[in-house]
Amino acid sequence: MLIEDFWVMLTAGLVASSCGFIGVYLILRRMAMVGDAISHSVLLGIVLAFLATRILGGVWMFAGAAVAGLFATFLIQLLHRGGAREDAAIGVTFTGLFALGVVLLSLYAGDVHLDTEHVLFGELAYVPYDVLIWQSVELGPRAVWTVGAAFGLTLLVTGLLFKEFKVCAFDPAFALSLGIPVTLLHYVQMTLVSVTTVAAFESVGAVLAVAMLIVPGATAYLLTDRFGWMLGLSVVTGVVSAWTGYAVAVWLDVSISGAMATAAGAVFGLAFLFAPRHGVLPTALRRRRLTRGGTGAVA
Amino acid sequence: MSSNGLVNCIEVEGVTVSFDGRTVLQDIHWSVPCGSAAGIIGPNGGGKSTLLRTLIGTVRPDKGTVRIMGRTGRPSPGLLSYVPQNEEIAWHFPVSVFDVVLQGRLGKKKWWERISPEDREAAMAAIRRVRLEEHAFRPIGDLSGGQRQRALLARAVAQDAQIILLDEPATGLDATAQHDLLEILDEMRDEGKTIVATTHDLDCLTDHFDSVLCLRGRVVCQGVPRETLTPETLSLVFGRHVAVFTEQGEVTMIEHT
Repeated sequence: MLIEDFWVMLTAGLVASSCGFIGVYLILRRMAMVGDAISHSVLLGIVLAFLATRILGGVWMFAGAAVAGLFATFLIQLLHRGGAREDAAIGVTFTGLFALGVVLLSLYAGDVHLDTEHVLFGELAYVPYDVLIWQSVELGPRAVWTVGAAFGLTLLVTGLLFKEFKVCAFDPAFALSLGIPVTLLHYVQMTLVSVTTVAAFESVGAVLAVAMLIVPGATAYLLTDRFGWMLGLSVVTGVVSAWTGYAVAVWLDVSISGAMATAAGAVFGLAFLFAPRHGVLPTALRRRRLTRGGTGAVA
Repeated sequence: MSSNGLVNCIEVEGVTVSFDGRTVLQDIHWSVPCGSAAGIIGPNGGGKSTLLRTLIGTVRPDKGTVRIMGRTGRPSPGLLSYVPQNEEIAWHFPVSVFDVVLQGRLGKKKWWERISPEDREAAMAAIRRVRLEEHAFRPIGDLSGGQRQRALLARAVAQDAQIILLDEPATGLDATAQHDLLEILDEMRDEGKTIVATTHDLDCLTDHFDSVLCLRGRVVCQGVPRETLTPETLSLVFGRHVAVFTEQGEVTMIEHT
């Protein structure tokens, strides 16, 4: 294995872990599509930050993207409260913000290397060559540091507010009665989703970021009835999907992000069919055994 | 009367609540003696849930005062615990009954404090209290409606508050499950807890509740259930009739068409 392969796999593993982890909360709060909305809305933030600073990349662009993602969740909430259905609110918000980003991009920044294709699909293969240098020491790919930092922040904040996040997701009305600031914590969590998505998106593109936010969590949900396990399994299935996808991409010489997202879908498919308690086949088998047992008892 | 000499654990005086200019509750006067069970009835949209939220302090009245255990302002989780409506809860969440009951212990904790062995002890005791010990470590989503409701009640027990507010605890339960739940509520009342529950089931009121409050935006009737719930008052609260209130406070009936 080449060092480049190592960096790509490490980056992809970190993306899968960070997205898979926070994605569990999105799945359980029935907010999967909010992850989609955030990942698309950040384009507007990236473009605005660039237009304001004329600098590609760096802290400002990251901050702009994260703020745009957070703004999207805020807008969704606002429209929903105002009477729009939640799915419609999400659809309107992210297509609107994304489209505005596209328009601004083509209008003012057409000459810069900030093309929509890159934003959507990313290019993991370039990750090893964008190296972070600090006082002329090479510290490895920038993506590893940004995604790693986002994951670290998510783990830290979630670790500190674990009980609160859990009760807010399970029973917000009760959490409010305990005096837990439910709305504030919602936005704290959405900030984490936003930061995670932006970090992932920079290196792997929006499509893989969304896939990793939603699919591993959905897979883990089928595999366990325990919350802690679900967090762990989501990370594990995410990483397995990412690495399997990479192997396939190298083997068939296809898009890395595409192969990884496909692998995540395939892993979900396996869980959907074979998960011990919730899978389609085990459930059908149990039912059959039950009917047989029933007729046996009658006979 | 409670140990600290208080007569009424809940006192509501002239409370008016409105949302976006629409008055949901108007001039509510109501009190609940300590150690008694009070039922709240009324049509949907009559303000039952809003009144409960006003007691918790998550809804602020435009006018009037709420006193919980003699004190105004938002009551602490140690004074009052809340069991929300069934449908507001994410039952698909992968947690065990024990985990859910443990949430009752969060009220007295700061966010940096961890769950202690005493908390686990208290949660287990609360689970035994509602007779769910066999199901303590099953996923909450696998339980029946009645068992879920008892799990929520156990969470309130673990919270160890003087007053327990329940929003439609009996809705959707079959007769047996309802009976089991009401029996546990009776026991808790007899141990000195103050119970307040909204309900659609009028049958249970006379046997299990000491007082009833009929809400339809305002107080339509209140008192001892057996005396208060007459065909006349019920038709005022729900019936085929629409109650119209004149400014002098007189009640006129108009046939609903």
